[in-house]
Amino acid sequence: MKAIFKREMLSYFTTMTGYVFIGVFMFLSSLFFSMEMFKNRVGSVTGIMPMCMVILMLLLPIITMRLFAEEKAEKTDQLLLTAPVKVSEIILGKYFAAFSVFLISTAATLPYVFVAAIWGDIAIGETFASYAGYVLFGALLTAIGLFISCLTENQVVAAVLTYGVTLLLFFSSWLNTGIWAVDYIIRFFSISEWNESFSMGVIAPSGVVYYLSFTFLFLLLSMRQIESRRWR
Amino acid sequence: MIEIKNLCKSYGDKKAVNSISFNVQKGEILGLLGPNGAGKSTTMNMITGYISISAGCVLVNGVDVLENPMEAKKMIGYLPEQPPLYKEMTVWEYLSFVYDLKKVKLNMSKKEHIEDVLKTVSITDVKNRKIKNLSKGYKQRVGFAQALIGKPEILILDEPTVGLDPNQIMEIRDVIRSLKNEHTIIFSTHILSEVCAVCDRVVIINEGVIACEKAKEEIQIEELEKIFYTLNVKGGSLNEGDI
Repeated sequence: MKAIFKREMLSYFTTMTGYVFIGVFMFLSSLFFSMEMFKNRVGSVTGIMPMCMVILMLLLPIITMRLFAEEKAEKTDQLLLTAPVKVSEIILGKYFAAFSVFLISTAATLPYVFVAAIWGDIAIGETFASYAGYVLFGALLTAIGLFISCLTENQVVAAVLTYGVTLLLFFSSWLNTGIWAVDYIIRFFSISEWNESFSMGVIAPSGVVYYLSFTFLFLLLSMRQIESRRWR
Repeated sequence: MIEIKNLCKSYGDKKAVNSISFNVQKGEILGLLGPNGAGKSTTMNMITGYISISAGCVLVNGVDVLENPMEAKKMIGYLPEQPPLYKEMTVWEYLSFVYDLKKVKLNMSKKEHIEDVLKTVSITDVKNRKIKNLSKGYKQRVGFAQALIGKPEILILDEPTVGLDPNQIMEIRDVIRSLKNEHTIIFSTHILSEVCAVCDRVVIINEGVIACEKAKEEIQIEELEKIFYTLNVKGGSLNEGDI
């Protein structure tokens, strides 16, 4: 797993992918932060979290789309699958590499917290909780992206499908069918709905369980997908 | 060393490999010969565990590749038809990654081993260059080097000389011959003379079945040519007007 993690990280930072992702994310998030700070006169970072999530949904496929699609297109998966490593090690190595790039981009927003702490008035608990929610959200998005990348050998298809799925899951809480049961189910699967308590400063166990279990589910599906391909 | 028993692979109704059986002895170079699409790569992919086996079994040193894939894979170095190269890496970074990936344990250091492998396939001079900037011949050799990492007992080489110029072909053949003492080698090709130049024994595959199996001493070019050319035209006939 370590070898794969190292190679993926090297790949993110020897090609432009990692830098572009982190750079564009920092630019956009800082833009929204300064607007919040100077125009709306709000000295906290929790307000920009929903915006960060939207930016993340638009940018994260850039780092997840290549994870397996590229291996298949370049036939380098032959090396991985004929080496004495388990499929789970391959998947986890790749997942943690992409997740680490996401964490670096998240860490790059920490200066905003210091700025807000100096000139604004931030609630530590609320900030911490919203960051926890944001990281869990990112963990799930990365897993969804990785799974979709396992389905195809075309990176563009992987990215577009990831947009489709994540945007649907994000905005599904806006859907209103009028039928209580259907709305309840849709809301249950909404990745934004579960983040609301975090942004209010509450680390709800149910939210943590939701994000972690769905992340785990998508990692498991990715492993199954890679294993099942050999049987076709 | 390698026992292959009634190996089959089906894709839907189509049988890509149909009940192939052969053995490879320790220290032997076995040539898999056959036209394109005969099932050579499929057979090799099954031996290395890349794709599943529909029926039959492959034993590597007595280890079943389906029952104990981790143990079997440790003994095999594989060069697929298209070398699995990460083009943004340098040759050294790539081989170092393969070393870690295969969890190699040898009584020499990682650096020494990689230097050794680089020397074997004569690519020491390009070790710090990015793979994407190398010529096809060099890329092929980097792929070859990758298979040699970890000193696997068995080497499986899928058309290692395809697309190379005549000099490079001679070099690769020399490398293969030089490896004979330490490794057991299965090597596929569709070039008849190559088999005679390199292999101890030859298995000819056509349309997923074994058409002929012979030791080197028994190989007679004329006879092989007859089989080979018969294989190539089988399945269609030409009328005078078509030519």
